Amino acid sequence: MTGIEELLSRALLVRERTMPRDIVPPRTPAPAPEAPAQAAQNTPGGSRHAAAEDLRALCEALVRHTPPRTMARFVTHQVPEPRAALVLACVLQLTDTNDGARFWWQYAAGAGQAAAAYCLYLHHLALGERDTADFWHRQTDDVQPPPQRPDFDDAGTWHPADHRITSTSTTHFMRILRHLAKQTVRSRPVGVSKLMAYMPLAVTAGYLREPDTELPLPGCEFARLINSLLTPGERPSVWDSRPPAPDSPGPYRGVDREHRPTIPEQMGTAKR
Amino acid sequence: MTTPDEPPLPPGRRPGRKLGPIAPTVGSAHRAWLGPLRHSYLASGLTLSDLSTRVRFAKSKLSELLRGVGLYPRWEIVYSLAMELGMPNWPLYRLWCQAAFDAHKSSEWVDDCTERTTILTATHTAPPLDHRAFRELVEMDYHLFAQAFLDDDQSDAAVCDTFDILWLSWDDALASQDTRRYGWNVLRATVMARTPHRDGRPELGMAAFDTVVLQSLTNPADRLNQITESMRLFTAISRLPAHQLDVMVLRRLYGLPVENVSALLGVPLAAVRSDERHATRFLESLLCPPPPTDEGNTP
Repeated sequence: MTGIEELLSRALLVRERTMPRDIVPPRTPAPAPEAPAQAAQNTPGGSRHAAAEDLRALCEALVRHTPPRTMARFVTHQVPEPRAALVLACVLQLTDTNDGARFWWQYAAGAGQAAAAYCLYLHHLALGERDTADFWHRQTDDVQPPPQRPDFDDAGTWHPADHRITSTSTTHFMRILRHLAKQTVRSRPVGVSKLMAYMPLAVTAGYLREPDTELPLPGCEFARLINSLLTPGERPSVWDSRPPAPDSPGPYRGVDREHRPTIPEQMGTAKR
Repeated sequence: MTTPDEPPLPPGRRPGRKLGPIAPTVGSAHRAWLGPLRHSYLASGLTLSDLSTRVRFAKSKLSELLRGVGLYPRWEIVYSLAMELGMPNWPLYRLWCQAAFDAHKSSEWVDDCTERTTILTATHTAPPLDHRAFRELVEMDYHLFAQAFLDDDQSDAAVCDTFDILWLSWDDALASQDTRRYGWNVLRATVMARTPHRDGRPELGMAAFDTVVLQSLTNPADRLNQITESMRLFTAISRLPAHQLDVMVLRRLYGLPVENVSALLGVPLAAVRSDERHATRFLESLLCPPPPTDEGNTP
């Protein structure tokens, strides 16, 4: 048993106290709920709020600037590709409940998406989890994306996930994003709004089906439904005309192309 | 989201009449929990009669429930089925609530559907029936959390206040994304408002006198050592951020299983485990730091 586990093994409390505690009347009025968190963080009370705002702005930007087809790329029927997982987590974050977002970000960060590590930093900071936030901030520097060609759809378009996360430029970057985010809400694409309505339900259903897995697994219809919400009425030729990447990382991409359901009509022919 | 591939009957099971499919009129939120429930039932090997006996629900009504026809089922029966079939509580409850709202678009209906006799009038003084059911489910565990921080009188009062507040705002609780989480947030705020704080952290050190291990120690020196160790540990735990603190109190101070903590807090199992891991890592860095390398120890 490790040191901490040994300590924790002696932490169990009795459920029925035989000796009542000394009754100590509080001398000072209890502090307001926000104050303890502020004092503990030793930072201005607004820093958690600021982190939440930054995260919202970053999510809006990532969602806005990711082509729907990228968001709908899946490795299996239930597991998105890392870049898609990053953005789906951002969509989830923008809804009232963000259960599951953390784990999609962790998966994406593990696969080299530095923006996902930064999202996790902001996510934990907004929750007041300073220690965990610092952990992810350190990870952001270490996470290296695999070398790949820019997406065909992205040719010539700047994408926030490609911005190098450095501490010097980040403040400026976040200020710009926050400004952009204010305008984005009014002009959110229809597909994204539909995703935001669908995702919380899918994630909860995923945790009902597979409660022991971290990544939400909403069922084998998930990829198809995401596709149909994001790319309704797409002609197959538009997608298939994308030239194959010459330096594609081998079997990973191959599996994806084979299994990815493109449009609903092709579901029956997709190999399992 | 239906499950296209439902498992075949386990070998040796006497086949009764095969369970019919989910009715096409069932909405997506209802389908989201009904599909997995059917899957669990079909995989269990139980006949409909077996299940009906175990949950004390008429077989014909059970068949209707599993096909999504008839009246939208009360939470009590869905909960009984979930317990019998070993399904996770929190996500099922959330989806049940969502589908209940979708079906009837009013929080009054959710109250009404659990009322066995008449519709509640404006002059009633007792809490709505489903609030009472909620209280029965969680009250004991709410008490545990409160008494980690407070003496018995204060903890009783805090829990009472919590349920009073919930009764008054029950419509808001039902309308929120997650009633469990709403309830927990009210409990937390109520307990923390009564808990003395030091350096902005809630006092948890007094729990050092309530450990199980202390009860078995008689030697005064051993007792003193144990109390000192526990105080150090609990003070460190009190420095954790809110979610992690809650998880550690429930998991480590009261030994609640992960599944129960998930249901109580209204969060996924994965989130409970993730919070516990992060919390343990933090405590380890504080209480059991690795030895300094200049002593020649390799980590």
